[in-house]
Amino acid sequence: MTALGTENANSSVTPGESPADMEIAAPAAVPVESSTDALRADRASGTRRELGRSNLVPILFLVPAGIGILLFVLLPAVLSLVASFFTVPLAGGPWTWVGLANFERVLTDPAVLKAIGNTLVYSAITIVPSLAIGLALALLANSVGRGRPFVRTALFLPMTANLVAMAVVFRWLFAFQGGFVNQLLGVAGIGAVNWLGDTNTSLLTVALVGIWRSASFSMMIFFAGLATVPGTIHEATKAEGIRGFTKLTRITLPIMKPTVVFATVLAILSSVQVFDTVNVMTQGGPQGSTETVLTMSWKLGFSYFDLGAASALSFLLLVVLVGIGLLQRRILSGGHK
Amino acid sequence: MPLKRLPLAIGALAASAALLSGCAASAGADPSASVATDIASCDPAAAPITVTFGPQASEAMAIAVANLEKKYPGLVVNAEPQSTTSYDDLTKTIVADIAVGKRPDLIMSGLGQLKFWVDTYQPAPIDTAALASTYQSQFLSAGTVDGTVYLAPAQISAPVLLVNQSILDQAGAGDASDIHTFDDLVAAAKTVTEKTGQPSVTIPAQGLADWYSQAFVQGSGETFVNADGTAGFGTDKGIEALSIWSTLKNDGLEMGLGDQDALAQFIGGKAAFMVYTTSVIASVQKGVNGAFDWMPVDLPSVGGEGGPLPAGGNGWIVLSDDGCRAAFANALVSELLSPDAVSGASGTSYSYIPVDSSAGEALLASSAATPQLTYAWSYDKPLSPWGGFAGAHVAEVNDAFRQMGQALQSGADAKTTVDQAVTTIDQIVAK
Amino acid sequence: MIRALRAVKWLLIAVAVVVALFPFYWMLRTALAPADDVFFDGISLVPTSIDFANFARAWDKAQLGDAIVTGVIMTGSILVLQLITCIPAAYVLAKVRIRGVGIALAIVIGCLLVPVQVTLIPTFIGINVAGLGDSLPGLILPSMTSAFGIFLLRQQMMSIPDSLMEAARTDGLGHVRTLTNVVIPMAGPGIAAFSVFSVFTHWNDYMWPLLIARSPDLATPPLALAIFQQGDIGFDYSALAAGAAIVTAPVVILFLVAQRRFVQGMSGAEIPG
Repeated sequence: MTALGTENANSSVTPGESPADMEIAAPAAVPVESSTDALRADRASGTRRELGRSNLVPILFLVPAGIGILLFVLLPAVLSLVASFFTVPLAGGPWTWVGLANFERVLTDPAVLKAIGNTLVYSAITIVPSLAIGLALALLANSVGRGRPFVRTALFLPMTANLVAMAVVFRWLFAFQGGFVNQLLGVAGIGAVNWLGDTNTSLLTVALVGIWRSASFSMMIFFAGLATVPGTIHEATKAEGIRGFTKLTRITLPIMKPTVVFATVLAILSSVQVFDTVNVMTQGGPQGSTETVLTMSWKLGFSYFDLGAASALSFLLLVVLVGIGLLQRRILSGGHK
Repeated sequence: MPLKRLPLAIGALAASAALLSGCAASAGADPSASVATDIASCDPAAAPITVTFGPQASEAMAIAVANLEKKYPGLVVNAEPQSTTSYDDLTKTIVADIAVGKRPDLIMSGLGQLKFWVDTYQPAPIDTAALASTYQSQFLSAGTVDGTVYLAPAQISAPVLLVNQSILDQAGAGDASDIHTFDDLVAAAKTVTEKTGQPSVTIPAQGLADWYSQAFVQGSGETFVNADGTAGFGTDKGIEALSIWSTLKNDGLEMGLGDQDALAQFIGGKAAFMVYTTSVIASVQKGVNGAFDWMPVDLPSVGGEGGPLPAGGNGWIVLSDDGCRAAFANALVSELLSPDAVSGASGTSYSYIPVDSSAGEALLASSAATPQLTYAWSYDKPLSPWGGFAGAHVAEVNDAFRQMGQALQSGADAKTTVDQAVTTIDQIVAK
Repeated sequence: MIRALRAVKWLLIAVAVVVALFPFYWMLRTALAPADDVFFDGISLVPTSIDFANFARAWDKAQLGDAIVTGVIMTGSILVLQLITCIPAAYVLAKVRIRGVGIALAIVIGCLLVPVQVTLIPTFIGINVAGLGDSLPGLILPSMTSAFGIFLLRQQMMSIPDSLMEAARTDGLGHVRTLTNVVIPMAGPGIAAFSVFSVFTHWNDYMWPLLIARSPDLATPPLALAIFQQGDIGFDYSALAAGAAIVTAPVVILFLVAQRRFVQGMSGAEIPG
């Protein structure tokens, strides 16, 4: 997960209106059975009146969080949406209504389109591999007997890494001249690659840091999820003679479905919000080959001072994310209910 | 979301839109600065001034503020350096301050941002008459727009070629001081590369791509920006000058590095040639620490034309919206450009070109004056303003140059690439 | 056959561990090597000699002392604020049935999907309008609550058996005492996991401090490191690596200490249900 200013990255679910929706979104790790039990209990208690207690206290309990969410998520999001229909002169002066011009501007600017394309590519080459590697590592680490604490700790460490520090280290490892990776290739008789300086490899190289880190994070989630698979399941499958890949795809993964959803949504959000590594490793270059939606909206907002266009671009992203969220919910509820 | 909540959402949107227009109306003040009033009629205690600047002026600022507060008892100067490393970042900070009504009185600006400030915020002219008599007034041209001095250059630098003479000697590639043209550079680099088997030149096309581009073009005697504000570098000779990047790449001579890696490789003794800025000479000297022989030499050009290079570095712009504060800000500028303060600003940690002749003489006479620092401290060739394209789009234009430089650095065809950059920039400027 | 599979498994684990740890190792290798031993020809896994002076240089030049103090204050304040705001809210969303809880929950979940781009610029301008630009409150306040935290803690609290809540009610405990005496102890692992998570998210955060912190003494550790890297002295790679190691160490140590609880908390394994 990227280290972001807000916790927004750290989502796990699709939107829903009632607690009943939550069963598809139970996080990591709450076992399916127990979470549905809890839900059933919820519904039962939901019909019961809160006898002898005032409703004032619970409302007060919600107020601090409510203020935070209102001030730092909802209000900014609304302002951002509004701003995407205006030109906002930073030097002062009134806002001017421009309709969809900002959207038109960002969707016709080749640099922005390239950033959108890069974000798609980046997401494609980070999300699936980091989930697959994370799952594989969790299964491997889980199957280890002796040395398990060491293996687990080692594989968890990338998750804690400071991306600024690690981006610097990866920049050296992949340095064109004298970088470790090229030296290694040299020993293998392969010529040096200008990893970060060549438009063909720069995005991949930045993505490697992303995979390195989010594979570790996904692994943690899967690891926690695996711990919730009841021991009776393992015994039953053993008795039935189901094992290996079949067991994984037919038994373990379906049981861990909420965990898979959780890990997937987190991986998507951290991929579309990649910033630190790009900022430190390439600053979007060479030739815009590592510019992403976030670095592009940063550039539109804080370098070109075109707040309207920056807002429009952010909103397009939000629409896509909500779309993915709804789609995922539909697929899941189709399979689950 | 159920339909019944829709009116609620629309209501919230409408309310915030109304709120915003209200804010916008109140923030819609006149963006121009105020002309300085006569300082004698101002009460220092009633006109505290705020200065926004980067850490490279800390030493000079400490000296200048002490002097100014002595001259005008009661005057308060709020001057804390910002932890910023790029002029773009500094600009962002100041723009954000102005947007929320905290307009500083005096700001540091990169010379490349001059047009941005002049076109967007109409700063007050600099009181050039108040500058010390030893101030090198030829540098004022780098802060002039349409005949008015809006920026007082304080820390000046010029594009320069740094050469690792030890590598040249080992390869028998001649002497750094004999390199005047791009052909000389390519020939020497070829000799080195044949010997070492490694690329030997780095011209990083990253943070300063627009500046280097301008230097290559103007150094070769061509026009960078036409009088009507359009791109002037698309001429045959302009293309030839900019093709140094692609030539080096296609001959296997260019190392293909970013700014920091270029510096690290040069200091590590791996790069024989590096184009950079004179301000970094002091840092390079510390880093090399006598490990090999090296020298800064004038930037080569097509045919060794020696046209004026763009001045880099920074200067001071008065943005006060109040006459008295503008007057005190101008007084602070004079102090910042006094011989004492200039010695601090150019000094041994940054190696900027001194803008004050007596400070320059003192630095050159000091024991710190190594041959490399002497090159920086005694730089006296004509310099032009940096950039010159429409101010509101400086950042976008610079990005276009970065694209162009990086494309050339990867070996793209020079004519096609430069032509495309000309088209892109003309479109941006026409907005 | 089984032996071969085992060998493959161990090989894969070995590769994974090496890949996971190598960047950390390389950071230390660079941090301990003399300045001229950063780029070299051939492969050299160990530095030619050990030079601790790099750490001193990094500490001085990147002003890491100040940065760590700022980082600790910022991260600590955010953690306290998030716990104060998230725990009661999670309790209400998980265990109290009053009107509007469904909507509140829907809002929290919706907020999880809002990417940082959308709120970044308005929040930045808002913080500046409030006069909090370049201040500790400006760094802290936007993270005063966490939709993720509310959600995670709610899921943990959902698994607390309703019979316990019932018992608390019959004992005459009000919402406040139910929360402090029953729910918080039961949700301990979840709270601990979220705390660790919050600490390393905000300690490592780069983008928001990059926007807000302008005075050198307000730079957080990653920002101080980035400024050092982009500055005129950024070519001093061994000092930079030493700085990177100094910035990385606190979270790694925290993680090593809290690891067991963290994983349990993420899985909710300790909550009987």
